[in-house]
Amino acid sequence: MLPSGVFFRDFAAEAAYLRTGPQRLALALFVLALVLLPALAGAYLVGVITLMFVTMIAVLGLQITVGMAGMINIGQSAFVGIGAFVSASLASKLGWPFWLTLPAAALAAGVSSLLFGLPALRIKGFYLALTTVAAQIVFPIGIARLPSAWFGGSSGLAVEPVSIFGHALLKQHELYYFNLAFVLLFALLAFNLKRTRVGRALIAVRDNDIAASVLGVNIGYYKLVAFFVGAVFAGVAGALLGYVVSYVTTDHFTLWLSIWYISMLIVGGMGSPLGAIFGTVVITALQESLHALGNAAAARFGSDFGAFIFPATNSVLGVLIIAILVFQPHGLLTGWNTLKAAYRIWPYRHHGG
Amino acid sequence: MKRLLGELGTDARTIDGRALPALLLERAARHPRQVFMRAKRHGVWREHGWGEVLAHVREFAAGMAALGLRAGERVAMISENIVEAFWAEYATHCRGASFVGIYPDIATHELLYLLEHSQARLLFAEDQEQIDKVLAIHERLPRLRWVVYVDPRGLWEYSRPWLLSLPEFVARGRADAAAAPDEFERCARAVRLDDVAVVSYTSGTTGRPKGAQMTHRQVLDSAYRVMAAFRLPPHAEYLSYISLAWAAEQITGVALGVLAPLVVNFAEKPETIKHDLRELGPQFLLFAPRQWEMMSSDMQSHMLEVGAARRALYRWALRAGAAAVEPDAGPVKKSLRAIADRLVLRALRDNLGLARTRAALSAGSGLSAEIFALFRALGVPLHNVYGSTEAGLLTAHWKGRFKAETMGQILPSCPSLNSPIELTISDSGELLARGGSVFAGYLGDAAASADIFDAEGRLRTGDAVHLDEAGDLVFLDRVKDLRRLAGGHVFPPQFIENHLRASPFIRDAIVIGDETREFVTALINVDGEIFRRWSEQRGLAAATFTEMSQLDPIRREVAAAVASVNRLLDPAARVARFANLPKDLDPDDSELTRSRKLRRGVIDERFASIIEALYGASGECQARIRIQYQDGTEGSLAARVFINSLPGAHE
Amino acid sequence: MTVEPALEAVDLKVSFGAIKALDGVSLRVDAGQILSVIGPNGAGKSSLLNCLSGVYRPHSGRVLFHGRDITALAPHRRAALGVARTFQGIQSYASMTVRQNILAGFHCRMKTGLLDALLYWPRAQREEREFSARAEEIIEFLELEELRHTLVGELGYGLRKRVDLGRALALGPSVLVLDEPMAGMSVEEKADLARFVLDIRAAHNTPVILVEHDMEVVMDISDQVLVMEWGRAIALGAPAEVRIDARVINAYLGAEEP
Repeated sequence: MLPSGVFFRDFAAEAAYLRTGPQRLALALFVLALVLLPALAGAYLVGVITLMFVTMIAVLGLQITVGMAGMINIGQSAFVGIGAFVSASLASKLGWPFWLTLPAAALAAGVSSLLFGLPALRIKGFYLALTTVAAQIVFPIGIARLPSAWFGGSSGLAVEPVSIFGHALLKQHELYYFNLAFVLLFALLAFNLKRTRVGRALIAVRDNDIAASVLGVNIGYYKLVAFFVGAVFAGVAGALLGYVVSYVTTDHFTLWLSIWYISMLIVGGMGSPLGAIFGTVVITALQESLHALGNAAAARFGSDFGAFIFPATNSVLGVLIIAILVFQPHGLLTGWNTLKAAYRIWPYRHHGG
Repeated sequence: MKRLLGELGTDARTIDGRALPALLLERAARHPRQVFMRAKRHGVWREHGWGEVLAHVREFAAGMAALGLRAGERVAMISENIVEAFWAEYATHCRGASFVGIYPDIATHELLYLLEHSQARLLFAEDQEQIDKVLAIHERLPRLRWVVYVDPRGLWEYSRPWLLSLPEFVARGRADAAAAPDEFERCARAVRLDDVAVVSYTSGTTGRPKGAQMTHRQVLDSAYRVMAAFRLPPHAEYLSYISLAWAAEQITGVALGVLAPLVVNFAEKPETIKHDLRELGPQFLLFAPRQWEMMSSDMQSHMLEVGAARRALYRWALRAGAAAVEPDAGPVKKSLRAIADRLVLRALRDNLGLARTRAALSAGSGLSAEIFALFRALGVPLHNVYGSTEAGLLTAHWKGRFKAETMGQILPSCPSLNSPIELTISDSGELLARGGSVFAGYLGDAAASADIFDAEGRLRTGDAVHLDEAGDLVFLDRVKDLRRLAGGHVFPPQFIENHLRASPFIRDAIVIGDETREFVTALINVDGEIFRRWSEQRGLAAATFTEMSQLDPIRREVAAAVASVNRLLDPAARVARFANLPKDLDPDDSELTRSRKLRRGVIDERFASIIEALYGASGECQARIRIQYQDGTEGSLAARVFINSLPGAHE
Repeated sequence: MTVEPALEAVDLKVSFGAIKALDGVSLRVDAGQILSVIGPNGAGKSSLLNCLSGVYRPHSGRVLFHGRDITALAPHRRAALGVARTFQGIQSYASMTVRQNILAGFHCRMKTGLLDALLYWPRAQREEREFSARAEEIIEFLELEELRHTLVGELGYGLRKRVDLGRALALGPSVLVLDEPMAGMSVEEKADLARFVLDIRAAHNTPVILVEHDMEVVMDISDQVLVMEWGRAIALGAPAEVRIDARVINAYLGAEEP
């Protein structure tokens, strides 16, 4: 719902994401804040946010597979890993520049996801989730067993810094801007997908696959598309992660990380890319603040206490996530939308939500 | 006999002797790309620039010429407010013919009468629903040559030699228009100010509707009055909703649309008006009281759903808004209002679609004071406007005074068209109008046309009015509904009763007085529930309704309410005395119908002793009231009833 | 000159284990015809529609679309040809708005591929605009203007069925197959829906195959009625003929009475 006096003369204006002056202003200010951030924040925080951008791309991809198309994927970090190793290998062994390693990583992750997505043509729900866990299990074994000349085996690979026009991005804020550009681009791609024919087909498959097929949607194709696109995002995230952490090993890409991705999506809200963004930001913020609290406590009470405090912060994080889901079972996005709608309709009563 | 003289407007947008077609041509040539109309269709607001509208009008006019329409004939249209209706009307004007707008919900036999009486040559009908009505009566309409429909849905299988779709109609004119491209402009420029633009059928409470012939001069002058009084800026956003059958929409939509000019907006369907109004947020709109009532009840029903705290805030905000409406509101009230506006009122206006409104008009008498005050408290610049089909718009709230009970001040007329409006209130209380531009008589009814003007050439409005203390016009009643006292003075009983009922303390009122009585009195049924709470707050004790109704403080409250109504009346028409009824009027006791209408016969008889006392010399009476209950049993009530006199009224 | 049937089924047989859902049913519908299929529950009506729309593949028999054998074609390929179908119950997409549902119905008329969609470049935008306008025509036709931006999950049953119909219309159907479009509707909603079906036929000469229980509506709007029992067709003809057919009275009306 929009304020009175905002109306559209054509479908293009109606379909635009930013439809009012205040909306455009808000986004401009937000992007400006992101651009100014490295100048104002400390190196640690900039590093955390840079990593968050990478995570966000992976979660945005997950939103397409899980949120739009309704297929549970608990193996997203494996596809991130595939991207990371492929990119790292091409960069270090063959000296490919990032603008070649990134697409290659995306494609590799996408194609390998098809392998695990194929069962989706036959099975749904819980069983499908298990096949994605298989991806998670096969991935480290595969890397370890492949010739170590390819991916460095179990010891992993070092990644050379990104180089743009001969300039290596070594400084923290340079990596920040590099990743910011990608997260903005991939968020836009995800939003685009949702509002077009392909996005509607994915949602149709999720909402009612039989009806979708009778209306001409090739269900098998779109299920694979959902896996493929989700994994392409993961592959890009993996490649970027390699450049940020400058060394990749299979230890980075655990089932545990996949579950974090899913948690971010659930906490944020599965229905829209905005939910993926919300979830990533909120969970990262919670993780980091609890981490900081733990550090402070350990510094004050000694390192013995630290052995206790760090597991404890994880439990607190778990409790907070549960609390969010108790109050907003459909994710923070739903709460945000309800709040917006209630504000618009004030002082009338807002129904639903 | 009172006379009031209006003034001439000073708005620079003049008419310069041009009729609507010439103005349309001039505006379209001056700003062909500027938006003239905007209609919601298929979910988006399609805009039609002046150049495009003129092109459509040209096409329509060519179609009309090809179908043999001649100057001076009539074209009728039965539809909701849609762009095609405006195009058809402007095309009709450009051909020198006059336009008859017809309500879409009209019954078939009424449609037959209007088409027969207006002798329409050509009828535009919106859709299948209307075409079905026409099919039923077509053979009885030999003068109706052609019927053109706008929406083809459901009409694919209809085939009649006289029935055309809009594209077929337009195609008919194409060859002629190509052969003589200048014909359209020549014909349009030949239309003069005193040609009849519109035949507007007045609903006529007695007898058949009469077709008032409104000239270009009349509709343009009235449109000018609104434009000048409310200082409407050019290209103000207007929402066209009231039917074209009504003279008011002919003035504010069709004529003012070209004159001001306006951006005329159309809702998608009548069912979506609420939503479309909110989406559009027009700057200028004209509704009948009915629409204002619906908006108000819609808002209030929304506010019934909210919790107690929010409702309390809402009530406070409305009170703060209402307090600041008073002309003497000080800085405290104004700042409270600003806070209320921020918190609640602005959001409510936004929800209603009135956030951007600069002038909201309520035309036609009878918007209740309560609803008027509500919109004013909300911060909606609502104005009453008063006029008639025959006389055009005469008065409106435009000089900073906007009491709900009044119709405002005489509107400024157009300097290039006519002299200022001169209003006279005759001794019988009737409003007479002269000056300005009035109608050109009823179609085919010379007797009635002559009859409506008095010996001095003043137009008789048939409305009984009164001037309040500030000199603002108060509409009382139709003259024929007035009652006469023994001394020959007249008074408006319904007006008094309606206004008394608007007081929160008064549940019902019965006005007494006829040719056997010297003055006006009233029986008041106080609102027991409200007074009970009111008395409790003040520590007054009353065991029964009867006792409470006669308490001193309560009689004083009622007297104040009566006095405020008296201020709207001439001294001779004021309520001189009243008595509070000792019992609540009750449908179970046959005093009211089940729909709470007064049974005057029963009341006159049952309370005869009180009525006699109202006209007696004693200040009180001992009333004994017999009550016949519905179950057949009888009871009686004895009560001491006080007679209350009011100052300032004739006795 | 012979009229080519728009859709024809020849001797369809389907069985589930020992149960013969369809046992040699044939039908044809020509342009501009409304054919209703009636029969008690379990008579095989839905199996018949499933064979026509491709959800089931018959064990024997053929389905012909304008003379072309489409028996082996997948549902989405039949949809692309213009065989549009609605289902029993509610099958619209609850999480999409009314307009998005209808746009989803345009799926096989639109072309935007994955890359176009991600980049949303001018070609994809143009297509969105063009089909939004076409979706709005259907919204207008079905009188859903007030609800275009309402989530379908928030609508009542009758309106959701109307959205189902709208989505089927988006295919620009050459044949419209409706499975109990009026079940669970109020009398007014049924009358509206019957009017829409007649208007569709009048506007586009689209043949309609309809499974419906409300005999009054069936007799009112159908050109032909096919009566089924235990997987077999027991009568086929104009409503007036079928109404007085002894076997129909026996079988169908007998089965209705408990």
